[in-house]
Amino acid sequence: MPDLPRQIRSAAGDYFMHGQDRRMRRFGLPGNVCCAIFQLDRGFDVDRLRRRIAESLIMDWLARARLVRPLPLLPAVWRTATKPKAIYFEHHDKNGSAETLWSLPKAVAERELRAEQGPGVTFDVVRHADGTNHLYLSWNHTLLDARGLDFLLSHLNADGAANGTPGIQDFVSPRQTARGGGIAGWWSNAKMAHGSVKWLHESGKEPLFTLVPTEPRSGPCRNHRRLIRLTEAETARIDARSQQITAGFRRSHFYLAVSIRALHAIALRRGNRDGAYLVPVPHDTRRHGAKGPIFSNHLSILFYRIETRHAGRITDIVGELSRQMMDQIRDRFPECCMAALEMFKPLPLGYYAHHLGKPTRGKIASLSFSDSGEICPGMTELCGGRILDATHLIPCWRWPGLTMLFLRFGNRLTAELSWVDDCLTPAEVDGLEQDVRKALLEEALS
Amino acid sequence: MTPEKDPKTIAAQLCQFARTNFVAEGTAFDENSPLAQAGIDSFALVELLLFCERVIGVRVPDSHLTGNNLTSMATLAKCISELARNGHSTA
Repeated sequence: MPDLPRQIRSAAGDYFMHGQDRRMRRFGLPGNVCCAIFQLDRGFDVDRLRRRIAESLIMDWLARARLVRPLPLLPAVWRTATKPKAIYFEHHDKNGSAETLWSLPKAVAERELRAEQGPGVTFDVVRHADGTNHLYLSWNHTLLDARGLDFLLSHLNADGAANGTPGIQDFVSPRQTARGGGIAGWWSNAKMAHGSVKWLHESGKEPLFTLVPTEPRSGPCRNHRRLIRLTEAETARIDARSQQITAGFRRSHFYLAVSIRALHAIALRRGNRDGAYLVPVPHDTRRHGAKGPIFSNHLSILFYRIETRHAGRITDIVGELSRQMMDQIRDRFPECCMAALEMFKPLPLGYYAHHLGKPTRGKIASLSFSDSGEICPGMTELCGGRILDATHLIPCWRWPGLTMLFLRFGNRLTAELSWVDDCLTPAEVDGLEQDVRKALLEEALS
Repeated sequence: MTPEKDPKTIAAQLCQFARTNFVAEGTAFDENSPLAQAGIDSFALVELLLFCERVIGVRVPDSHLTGNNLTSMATLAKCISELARNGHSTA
C-alpha cells in the first residue's frame, strides 16, 4: 500500500476557500465550515465507523494536515503534523430519536475547525435512546469539497479493500504531488490569468446589486440557515419543469434562475432599479465515474452577470445563463480564472482576500450559489445503518451575505438558504422562501 | 472547413471526445450510453457543442438541444449529421 506524502501542494481552490474562511472570521462568523448530517437507522455500527477512522491512513493524514506557508511569498502547502488531533467524538442523547430538526448540537456548532491549525474535519456521532443515530461530519472547506466528502464517506463505508471504492491511491491529484511547470508553466499561467482578471473587471463593473448594508456593523455577524425541503412528488414536478425549460442538461441553470428571480424580488422591494446580479458558480472538475481525488478543492468557476431586464422571468434568465456559459467556455474563462487563483497563491492571506474583491470593489458577488447534486450517490447505508435522510449545512460568506444551495438525497430535493443576519430581514427570508418554492413548483409549461 | 456528415463517424468522434474529457478511465461508455447518466452536465454539454463547432464543423442551435437529440451520442450525431446536410456549418 503506498504511503501518503508528508507534504502536498495546495490547490488554487484550497487557497480560495482559505481566503473566504479568513473573510468570514473577520466579521465574527464561524469560518468556511460545512457540516453533512446523516440520520441513521438502528443497524448503524458505531464501533465499525470508529475502527475504520482509526485504521484509515487517509483519516490519519487528514487528522494531521495543516495548511502552512514554508516561507513568506511561497505558496501555502499542506503538511502533516507529528501528532494527529482527535477527530472522532461520541455523544449520548438519553431521551431523543433521530427524528429531530436539522440543527447542529452545541458541541458541534462551537468546535473550531481551522485549516492552519487542524483538525480540518471531525465526526460527531449522537446515539439516541431509541437506537437511531445522527452523524455530523464537519469539515473546513479548505480541505475538501462536497464531492471529496462523498468519496471520503464511501472510503470509510467500505470494509477492507472493496473494489470500486475510493482508496489511498485516489486520495490526492497527481498534479499536486508532481513538480511545478517551471518558468514556462508560470508564464503560460500569467498570460491566462491576465485575461481572466481583465474579464472580471469588465463583468464586475457598476451598477451591481448587493444585500450587504453599507453602514458599519454594530457587532459580530451571525449566520442563519433555512432548509426548503421538497417531497418526492414535488421533486418530480420540479424535474419535469426543469426538463421542459432546459432539456434536462441544465438543471443547475434552472435552480440558479429560480434563485436569481427570488433575489430580484427582494432587490425590487429595496428599490433596486438597474443593479445587476453577479453570481459566481463553482463547477466540479472531476470526471464522471472517477473515485477521486478525495482531498482538496477541484473546482472551476463561471461568473454570470444578469441585468435586471432579464431577471424577472425564469426562461429569460436561463437563456442568458446558457449564452454566457457558452461564451465563457469558448473563451476558456474557467481555466483562466483558475490560473489567476493559482498565480495569487503566494500572496499573504489578508492581501489575497482583499485582492479577490478588487474587480467588484469589494462586493465579490450578489449571491453565492451551488448545486451539489446528489449527496453520496448510490449509498443507501453507512456502516450497517440505513441512511434515513441526509443534508449539508453550509456557511454563508460575507460578502455576498446570501448563499443558496440545491442538493438531493434520493428522490428529494432540498434548497438551503444560508444568510448573514445583517443582510436580510426575517420578512425578506420568508419572502425568499415563498418565491423559491413558487418558482420551482410553478406548473410545467404546456 | 467541410463539415463531417456521416453519423457513425460523428458519433465515434463525440465518444472519443467524451472519453478524453468527461468520462473516467474504466467507465463503460459508448455511442448508445444515456448522456444524462454519463456525466454530461451543462458544462460538459457546452464543451461538446464547442467541439462540434471546432472539429466537426457544425454549429448546433439551441432549438435543437432537445431531450430526444440529447439521449445519447448516437442521437446527437444523427442531429449533427442532418444539420450538416442542411448547411449548418460553422464556415
